[in-house]
This record gives sequence, structure tokens and C-alpha cells, in this order.
Amino acid sequence: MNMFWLITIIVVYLSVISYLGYLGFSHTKNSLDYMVGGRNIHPYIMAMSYGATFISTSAIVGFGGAASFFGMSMLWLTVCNIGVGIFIAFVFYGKKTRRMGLNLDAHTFPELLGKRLDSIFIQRFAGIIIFVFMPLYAAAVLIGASRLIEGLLGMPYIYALSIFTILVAAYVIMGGLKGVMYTDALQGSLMFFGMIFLLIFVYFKLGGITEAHTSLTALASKIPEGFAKIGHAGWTASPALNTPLWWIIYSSLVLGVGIGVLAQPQLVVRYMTVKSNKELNRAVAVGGLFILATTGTAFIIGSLSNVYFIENFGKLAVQMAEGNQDKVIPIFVKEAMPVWFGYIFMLVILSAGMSTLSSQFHTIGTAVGRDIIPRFKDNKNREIVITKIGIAISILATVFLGIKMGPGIIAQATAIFFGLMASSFLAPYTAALYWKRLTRKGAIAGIVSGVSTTVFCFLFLHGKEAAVFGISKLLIGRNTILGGMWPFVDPLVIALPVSIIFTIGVSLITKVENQETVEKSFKGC
Amino acid sequence: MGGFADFSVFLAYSLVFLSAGVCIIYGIVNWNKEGDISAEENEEEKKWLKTEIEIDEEISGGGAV
Repeated sequence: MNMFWLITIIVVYLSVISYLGYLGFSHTKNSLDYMVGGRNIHPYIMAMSYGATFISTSAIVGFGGAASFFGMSMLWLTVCNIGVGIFIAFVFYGKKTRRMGLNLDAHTFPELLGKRLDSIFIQRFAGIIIFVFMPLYAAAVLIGASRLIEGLLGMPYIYALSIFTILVAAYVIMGGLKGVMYTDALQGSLMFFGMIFLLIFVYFKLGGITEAHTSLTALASKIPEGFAKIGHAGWTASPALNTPLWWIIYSSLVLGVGIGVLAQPQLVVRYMTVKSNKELNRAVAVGGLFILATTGTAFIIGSLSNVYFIENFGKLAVQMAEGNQDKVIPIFVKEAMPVWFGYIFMLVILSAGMSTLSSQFHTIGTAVGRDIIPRFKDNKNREIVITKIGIAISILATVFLGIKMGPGIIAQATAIFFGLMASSFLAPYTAALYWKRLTRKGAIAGIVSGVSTTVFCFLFLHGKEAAVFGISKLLIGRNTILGGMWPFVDPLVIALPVSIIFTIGVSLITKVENQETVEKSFKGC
Repeated sequence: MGGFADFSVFLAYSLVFLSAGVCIIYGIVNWNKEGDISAEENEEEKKWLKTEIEIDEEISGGGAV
């Protein structure tokens, strides 16, 4: 890469981002603007912001790399991303959330749950969960972007990570949600066009759609022994049923992330930024197309990279990346694409990272400033100051994790956070929107049982995390308390049903605490 | 089946494009629909929002934060 052009493009890109961040700052007059964009964001900006926040470096680099190892059955995740993450999310969750958020004057996801159930405990507990666990997901995004900058500029990883963090922090702290969403819209547009070009170019390079797939199917004889042992049946075939790989793909990646998206606080707040359901209807069209272009492309290209690598280097993607799936997509773009596209792709990845990271920082900050710390009714500027302090703390925690977390961790850390959010909040959140009989005790039981079951699974059941924590090993001499397929079953598969049972069961045996709040919540829903 | 080894992956590949198509059609068909909220309620909502912003600005003293 030509250093002059590379630096020029980065400077121009960052100048535009800075201008949009300043625009957000100048349009922010009060806490309603800072927290929920004044509830009058344009549908295109809202849809692109939702998509760009949802799709991060984790999706493109982490999950795209996972597809290069596991194959095109990962496309079931894209089906879920569009069907659940866009259609069901906007049509069945978005409209109710927007209206209920307005009725209750809620500015954050924890506040929505707390006010719907008249419970400061729920609001604070949800805020604490976000504050404690979201830096793990933010670190995964930060690692993806920093590794790319390190590879492209030859800059030490720690410098890449620091510069990237400072840039994002500046416009999040100053511009609030408006600054975040304005920059998201530009970044989402860059991601959309960059990924569409990548998809078309690769199919063209490999001789067409069917030819490319046929070549990939023919590689089934080259499956590494380690992959075959866990159920890999080829890159255009689903893994053998009930094998470890089948459980990894369908329970952790497809179900964990595909369903988990519905209870992501940084995405739920997007519904509250538009002024009517009309904007949400329009956002469905933009969002569906965006997810197709981003995750659809990442998983297809990740899988097809094996064909290119075999034809040109005689190696599979796993061998090219020396076993680190996070390196596959950057290596593929560097080797297979024209030099000029390398510059474009760099902006795509920077955009994916910045758009998600900025929303994560904003969400963690508002969890501190609005949900965990008591409200300052007499002075809302203090609320924003505390939010900014919360953002600063979250940035430090994220940078620390970004330095400490090991290689190949991006997809796993993302799946852990998405799964935890779904296990803890999806059942009470769904019930809060659709069931007037939901009680405060039922919601608390659902949240607490979901969190505790997930933590139990991470410590004693799910192989990867249980091995890291080592508590099971200490107590019974084995990494996990159950053998067979259990170490590969995602905690969500166990924790979500537990949370649903507790939410419904406890609500049925307790009384609704405040009928007036229920009527106020459902007004116009 | 489009060069795929098994039907499950072919189905996923097809559903990706089909579901995106459904989203686009839904968005276009409902482009100007407010959904289940009447125009009268929406007017009330706009009035409510305006009041909320005014109260908010009064408390925070206005100006960029």
C-alpha cells in the first residue's frame, strides 16, 4: 500500500467523521437529544445506525473468519439477522418499544423496563449488567479494528488500539447519540457499498456463482483432520447432526447472536429515536438490504476464501491464517483484491468498528448516568456529566480488555455478550411489551434466573469458558461437570427457557403492583 | 442445487435473499403507514414531545451540552 494515499484517505475520512460528530454536538441542546437523539431522527439515519451498530468488526472479521473455517452453514445466522434482527425486531418489538418509551419518558433500555414495572431495582440491575459485561463485547470490536490498523500501517498494536479509541471517544462524549447516529449513517453507507463490491468482485473472480460454489464443494476432501473430528462435512454442507461443530454453529453462533439481537440495549434505544411508526416501517427495507450486504457477504466471502487460497497458494484459509480465524478476511482482501480496494476495505472495517464501538460507549455511559446513579431532577446537566464520566470509565475498561484478551476471541466474546443479554432480558422485555399481567416480581425472577443460569453454565458447563475459569476443574477435577455434547451447547439454550419459565410462573402467582402504570404504558400501543 | 453439497445450506442461501426481499417489500408497502396509531393520537404525541423538549431545555438551561 502507498503510505501517502493511505494517510490521505484516513485523514479525509476522519475529517468527515469529525465534522459529523461536531454536527451532532451542535444539534444537542438537552438530555433528550443526548440520550435518544431528540426522538426525531430520520428513518434512513436510524436504519443505517441500527445496522452499523449491529454489524461490527466482529461480524465481518470475526464471524467472516469463522465462516472460512466452518463454511456456508453460517448463512443461517444471516437468515436470523434479517428475519429476527430486522423484521421481527422492528415490526414486533420496535413499534411497541417506541410508543411505550414515549409514554413512560424512558431514555434507555433499563429505564424502559424499570418504569414499565415501577422498579428502580430492575433499572439499576440492568444498568449494572450492561456496565460490567458490555466492555467485553466492546473489546472484541476494538481488537478487530486495531488488528486491521496494525496490519495495514505496520503500527504496533497498542498504538493502533489507543489512537482508534481516542478518535471514537471524542465524538461520543461530545456529540451524544446524535453525533453517534450521524457518523453511523455515513459509516453504514460505506460498509454497504464496500461489501456489495467485494461480493460481486469475488464471484466474478471465481468464475460465477455456481462455479464458485462447486469449487468450494470440491474441497470437501481437504478438510483438516481436526475439523472432520468435530463434525465438519465440507464448506457447502451442514455439519453432521449433534456433533460438537453442529452445536457450536447452531446454538452459539446462529441462536446466540440471531435471537440475542432482540435484547441488545444499544439497539433497543434506536427504536426510541424516531417520531412515529412510519419511520420504523421504512427502516425495515433499508435494514434488510444492509444486513444482506454485510453479514451475507462476510459469510459467503469467508467460505469462498478457501477456493482462492487453494488455487493460488495450495493452502486452506485456516493454514493461511495459521489457525487464527480473525486474520482470514484481512489476509484475503490483501491477497485477492486490487490494491485500491484495500483502501476502501480499510474504511469499511474502520466504519464497522467505530459505529459499533461508539454506540457501546454511549450505552455504557447512559447506563451509568441515567440508570445506576440516582437521577438529578433539579439539574439534568449533571446527569450528562455523569454519563460522560461513565463513558470514560467504559473506555478504560475496554482498552484494558483489548490488551489482555487473547487471539481469535472476537466471535466468541460477541456471542457471549449477545447470549447473556438474551438470557437475562429477552423474556421480561417481551412480556413487558405484550403482557399486561407481567408483574415486577415475575420480571425480577426472569432477569435474575437468566443471569445466574448463564453464569453457572459459563463456570461449569460450557467448555471454552469453564476451562478458562477453572472452578469446575478445582472442585471435581474436570473442566465441565457434564460430558458428551454439553460442553458445546450454548448457555442460551438452557438459560433462556429458565428465564421464560420464571418470568411467566412468578407473574402468575403474584399480583400486578400498579395497574395505573400498566394502563399508562400500553396507551396507544 | 447451485453448487451446494446439501439442501440445508442451499436453503439458507436462498432464504437470505428471500428474507431481504420480504423486508424491502414490507418497507415499500407500508412506506406511509403509521401502523396502529391514529392521526389524532399522533398529533397528541407531537404536542407531548414538544412539551417534553421545552421542559427539558428549561431545566438544563438550554445551549449545547
